[in-house]
This record gives sequence, structure tokens and C-alpha cells, in this order.
Amino acid sequence: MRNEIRQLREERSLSQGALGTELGVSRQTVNSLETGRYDPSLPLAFTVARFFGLSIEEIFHVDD
Amino acid sequence: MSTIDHPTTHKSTAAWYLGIVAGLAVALGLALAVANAGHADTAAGIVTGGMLVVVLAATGRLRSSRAADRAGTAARLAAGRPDERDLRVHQGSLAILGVVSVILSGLASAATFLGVDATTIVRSMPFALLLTAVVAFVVVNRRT
Repeated sequence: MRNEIRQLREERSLSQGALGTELGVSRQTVNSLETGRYDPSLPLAFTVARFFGLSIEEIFHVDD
Repeated sequence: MSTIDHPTTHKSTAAWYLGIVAGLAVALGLALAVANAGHADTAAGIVTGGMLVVVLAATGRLRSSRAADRAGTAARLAAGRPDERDLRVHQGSLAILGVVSVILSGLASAATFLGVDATTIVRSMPFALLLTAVVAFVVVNRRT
């Protein structure tokens, strides 16, 4: 699953650690999300979407 | 809805200390039983191993609270403060360990029929499983 987390984070000038703190996860988890190695749980996807003020569909895209 | 489990700090801390005390009790009890059976060196090894695990867990807990940004998956798990990815890594590596342990026990059983000393096999099994657990954890952690 692709996502826009890195772009959204960089637009807000946040470090991975700072975003992780906001989301309640570790810096490594943010890194894994950004590189697509880890797909978040539904609750975490909602938290990410809420934090950026977007819908889940605008952030996460299913690979076709 | 929550992204991670948010137990109260007191509950989390109490569970961690309880786990440490239980682990120490098991290690010391086992060491005592082995020492009484006349294997003092093995008993010393068990105590040393148990203490090493406690020290590593304490280090992980300290690191995850004082340098949370630099703490790794293993440190957060040892500290009892994992996030959802840490739990996924833990789950994945335990799943691999489970499959490998079934295969290893089957091979060990077959080896006894081929004349391999059963005592040697049984005594080497914990080391083989520990090595498997470490390798599985590292691989799953890198891939997740």
C-alpha cells in the first residue's frame, strides 16, 4: 500500500520522531509507514488521517 | 479508538516488575533444583543467564524512557512499551519460532532413532531455539 505520509510530514516540517510522538508510535514505525514496509492498523490509519486533516483515502492508496 | 494500547502507567509498570520478579523466581528456582542435582556449573549458568535477561530488560526500559527516539524495537518490547509495529514484529518472529520449533523437534526425534545421544539433543535445543528467535526477530524487524 502506497501512502503520502512522507510528503505530508515534510510539508509540515516535522521530523519522523516528532510525527511519531504526535501519532503515539515510534520513529521507526513512521519510517516503516513511509517506506511502505508496514501497513498501519485501521485505528492508526484514522489517527494519521485525523492528524493531517484528510481522509484515509487521500493518504493511503492500494497498489494495483 | 486508539492506535496503541494505553494501559495506565501504574498498571504497565506493575506488570513489568511482576514479569521481572516472576522471571527471576523461575531462574533461581530452576538453578536451585539443578544445583541440588549436583550440577553447580549449570546452575551458575542459569543464574547468570537469568540476570543477563533482567539487566537487558532494565536497560531497554531505561533507554525507551530516556532516549525514546533512539530506542529500538527490542528495547521497547523489553521495556513493556511497544507500539503496534513492535507487536507485529514480535508476533511475526514468534510465529516463525513456532514453526521452526515443530520442525526441530521432529528432526531431533528422528535423530534419536539414528543413534544420536538424546541428552545432547535436549540440551542443545534451547540454544537452537534461542538462535532461531534472534534471527527471526532481526529478519522480521528489518522487513517490517
